[in-house]
Amino acid sequence: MTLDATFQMEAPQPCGRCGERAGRRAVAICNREPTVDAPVAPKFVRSSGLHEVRGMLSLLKKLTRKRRLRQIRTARSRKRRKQKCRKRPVRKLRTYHAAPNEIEAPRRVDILDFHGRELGRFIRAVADAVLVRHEAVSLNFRETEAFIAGGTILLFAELDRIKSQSELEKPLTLIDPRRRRAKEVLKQIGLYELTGDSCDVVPLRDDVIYWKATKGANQSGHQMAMIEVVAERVRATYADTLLLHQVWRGVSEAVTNSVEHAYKKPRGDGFNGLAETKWWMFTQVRDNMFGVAVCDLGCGYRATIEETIPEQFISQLAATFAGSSKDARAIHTAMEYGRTGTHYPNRGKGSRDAMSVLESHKAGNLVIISNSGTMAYEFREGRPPRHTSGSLELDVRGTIVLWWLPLRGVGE
Amino acid sequence: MRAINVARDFTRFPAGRYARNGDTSGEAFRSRFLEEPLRHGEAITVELDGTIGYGSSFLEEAFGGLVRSLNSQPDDVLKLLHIESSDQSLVDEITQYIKDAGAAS
Repeated sequence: MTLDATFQMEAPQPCGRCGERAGRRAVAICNREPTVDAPVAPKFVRSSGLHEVRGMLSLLKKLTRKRRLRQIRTARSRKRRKQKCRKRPVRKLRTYHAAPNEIEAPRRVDILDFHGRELGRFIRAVADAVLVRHEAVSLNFRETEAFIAGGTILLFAELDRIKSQSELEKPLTLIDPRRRRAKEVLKQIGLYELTGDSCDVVPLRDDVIYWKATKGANQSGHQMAMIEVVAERVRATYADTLLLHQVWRGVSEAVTNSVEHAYKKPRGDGFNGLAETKWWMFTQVRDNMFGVAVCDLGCGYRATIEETIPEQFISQLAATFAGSSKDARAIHTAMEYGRTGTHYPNRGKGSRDAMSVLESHKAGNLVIISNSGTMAYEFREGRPPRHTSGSLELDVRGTIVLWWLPLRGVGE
Repeated sequence: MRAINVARDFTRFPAGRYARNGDTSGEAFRSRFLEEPLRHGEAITVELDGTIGYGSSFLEEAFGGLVRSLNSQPDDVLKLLHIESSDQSLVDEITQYIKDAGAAS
């Protein structure tokens, strides 16, 4: 009797242990490998039935009911996930370089979601043209409709940085937005002055006149004095609910941090700061909220916390806080270090002062963006402060600290 | 006793820590108005009202920095330094910075 025949005859016999029959599959596989020389093959069959065969041919392992159900569940969830991915609309990135020296600005100047990616591409396209290819460019704002605080301060800072680094006589030219409001905003924040273009529009709209941008190279309070002018204007329209001395506390410490820490190391693209400008500031009033933002184009929290915060504290916090990105975790580490108090008299003051602005106003929001990580802190009277972490599609290559404080009074 | 009003004699916009980073910093205020009289044992009153506000870095460097720069004890500094402000929390904060500077050194 050949080995082949042995299998065909004997395989259907009940298993010695469980009484199960081998079935056709076992026979078929065994027939595929009719190695006559193999001395062990007849031994399986004769000795104890199917368990040995199964041990050798693990592919044939019969699924238990539990395992089979689990496989079905996994397959279903995979299918669902695939379908979900297909449903998500794939938005095409807008193409720039419509004309050789014309770069189209985003429709919405914002750092969140898809708009952030678009803004990042716009800034990179301008920087590449002006600083790498040494070409003057026209910034086409014709279709731009909306300016959001975080995106606007970043745009202002980056264009200022690009212009300062360029050796060209007039590297940037503005192409006016179609919409009057957008034009008023560009005029109000001083972008026309920055590029050296003229604009005959006088900003009049209520939601534009509080937009104001400024910049500075050091911590001198005189360079930040603009905030007093804006605050006085806000107080004339709204009741005296804005605590200017508290806003000053937060803002001046954010500027101090930018000057002292942000440019200790070069950022991702090698930029290591300008001698004449280290920070940019921006104010806005929108929906009965006063907003103020401080921005720097430095290396971010992640690159500096190891020098300013003890390693033990960093690892302790990392064990308890599962932030969505390393940048968000670095921001939260710095904030917690300031909040919990430190043994070093010259450490952690900035973060404590940033939060104290919200606490003194008994309400408000603080958003800190560092590279591609974000931390948002929300303070409401009678409730413990809440924080949420997130990550952006855009790497801002710097830090933005943004406060929103509620205004109440005659303007409501 | 000499009286120094920060807003009148120094700036309405105090900000920052080190003199190398700004002329309105805590270090600039300390070296210009506080160190010399205290070194000679002269008592000083510092009036804080009238400015736009104060950041922690300014206050810590101006007042806590006294302990470090004069290499003296917090109690000695607090004996000679009298702080006046309509906001009591600022006075408490400065006192704490002086004590902390003594503990850290």
